[in-house]
Amino acid sequence: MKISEKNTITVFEELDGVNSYEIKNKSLIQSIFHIDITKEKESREATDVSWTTSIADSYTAFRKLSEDNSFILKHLKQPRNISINPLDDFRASSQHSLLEFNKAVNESRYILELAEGWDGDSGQVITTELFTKSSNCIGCYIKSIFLEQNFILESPAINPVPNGSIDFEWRNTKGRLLINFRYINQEIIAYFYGDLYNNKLAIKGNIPTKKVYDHLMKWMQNLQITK
Amino acid sequence: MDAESTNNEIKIGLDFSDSCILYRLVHNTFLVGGSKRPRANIFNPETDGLSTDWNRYSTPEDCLIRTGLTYKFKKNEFKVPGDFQVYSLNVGKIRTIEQISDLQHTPVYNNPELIGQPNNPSHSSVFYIDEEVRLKLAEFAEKVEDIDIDAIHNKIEQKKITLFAQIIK
Repeated sequence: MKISEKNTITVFEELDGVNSYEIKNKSLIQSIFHIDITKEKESREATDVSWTTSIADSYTAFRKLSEDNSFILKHLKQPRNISINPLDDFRASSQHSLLEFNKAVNESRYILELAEGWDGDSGQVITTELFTKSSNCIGCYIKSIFLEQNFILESPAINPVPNGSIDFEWRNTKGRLLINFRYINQEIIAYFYGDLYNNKLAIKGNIPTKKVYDHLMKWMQNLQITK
Repeated sequence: MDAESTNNEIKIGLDFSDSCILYRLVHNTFLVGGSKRPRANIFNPETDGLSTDWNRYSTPEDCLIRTGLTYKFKKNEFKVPGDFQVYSLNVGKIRTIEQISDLQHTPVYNNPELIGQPNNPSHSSVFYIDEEVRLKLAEFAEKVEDIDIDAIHNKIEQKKITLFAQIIK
């Protein structure tokens, strides 16, 4: 795999005496430090980094990764001599909420390789745009839930549908939810239905994918498994 | 139960009782990751309804035999029955889903029978357009186990011989 632009790490230098930094990538949902390196080099992932430690320790681990691989350093746009603000731990942990989901998304990328007729019939190809935008959308909902309620929603099953759309499906002891992303007049719309079984507390509707809608985001919190 | 093979023996529009079973063929692509639990994407309806086979006229083995006699999409080669699993849906449970607008017996019959498009006296269509229905159908579907795939292959080959012999005549 090649380094893609969306995996670029941007590190800002110390400004006005305030210790701060921001690490993000262009898609905004990928794991921090998740860097795919070309096959000729060793591939490492952010899961090597323990998020239970402070962000300072995490950055130290990242620095070690980058020192071992000068290829990564080429993607750092700013000088690296910065301090770590402990408040940024919160921002970092919100990215951590997406680690499992991002893993599920990566494991579902086989969907993009499916050829016409993949279902044994007339199954349509799933476009990269649909896959990416729908995954981004769900990632935003998972992140929003974490920021509001401080719990990480389990990852959905991500499945292709023969009509060229994509399903994100949750099913656990609390309830079930299906969100289907498809093109309607060249725009991607999400159609959804969920309940807590036996039509209890059912939610149904459709939404655009460009932002997180509160009513759906709050309903999704019903799927939390309480211990 | 033997499947009936001529349209004259089939009464169109028979009511489905709650105890009836509909069989749904599922390609193994839907079961990636070893999942045996059906997901909602299996129940995406075609333009003329969700395609199923009625157990009044078909066994799970019959479903797979017809599959082996059906051409792949846009190709003149037969499908491989081993690439499919059979799931059953109880009509009584389906009827609890309000958004299902109709269930019709829609047999497929050509005389003479077409190569690659076998007659299907059991074909039935479930009509709906809804994520809610797909999610609930996934809850009701049960995988049919213990199908003798070897016996199916033998019957498919015998049927192919018969069909091609008719063409030669």
